[in-house]
Amino acid sequence: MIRGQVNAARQPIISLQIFGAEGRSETVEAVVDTGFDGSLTLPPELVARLDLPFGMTRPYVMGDGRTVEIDVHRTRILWDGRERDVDAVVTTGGVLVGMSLLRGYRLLVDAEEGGEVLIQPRT
Amino acid sequence: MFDTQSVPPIPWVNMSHPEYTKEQIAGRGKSIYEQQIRSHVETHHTGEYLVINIETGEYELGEDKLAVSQRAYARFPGAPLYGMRIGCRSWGQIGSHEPMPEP
Repeated sequence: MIRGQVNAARQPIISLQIFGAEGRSETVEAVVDTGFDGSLTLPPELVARLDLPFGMTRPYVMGDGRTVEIDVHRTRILWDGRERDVDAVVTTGGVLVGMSLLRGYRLLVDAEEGGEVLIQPRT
Repeated sequence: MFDTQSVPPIPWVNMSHPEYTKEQIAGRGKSIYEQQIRSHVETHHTGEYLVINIETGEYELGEDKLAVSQRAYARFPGAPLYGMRIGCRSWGQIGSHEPMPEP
């Protein structure tokens, strides 16, 4: 089970450990974004610091309806106590956790500042 | 842990494959799709995820985007890859708005 908290901007936030090259890792705050159908977005500075290897280029539709070609880099994260290989979409919009990472889980959010965020396996 | 490319750590430059920009990969990927792949896949594989090695034209294809990506990484290590979804304008969407129509 993953626990987090709703911040002052009323976004559901969880802590996420991201692993990179040569044993490096960083712990980041991630917004759980149910409008994102992928797994993870990461900012370019963090991708560079962790030296995450290039994966592929893909088109994504953004919130304003534009289609943009974006690079995806490969990483490993700690998710619910287990290491997991994840493709990270490199964008400047902060760290987002999306519906692909939530597959098989139930998301509960007390939608107020300081409210609890729970991500629990469905079975 | 990874067989990393020697990408220089310049965070203000868009990260990419060491030899190709994302524009080059996307351009070449779309071109290969139109010329070499589309006629073989569009009839029966609409909606499936496709990852193209833009140097060889080889590809991986399937309904599970995570599985297709992992197969492509294993089969084409270090290659410049272009991912797309057959019959759709994007692989996915970031940001809440009206859902993309399913193909």
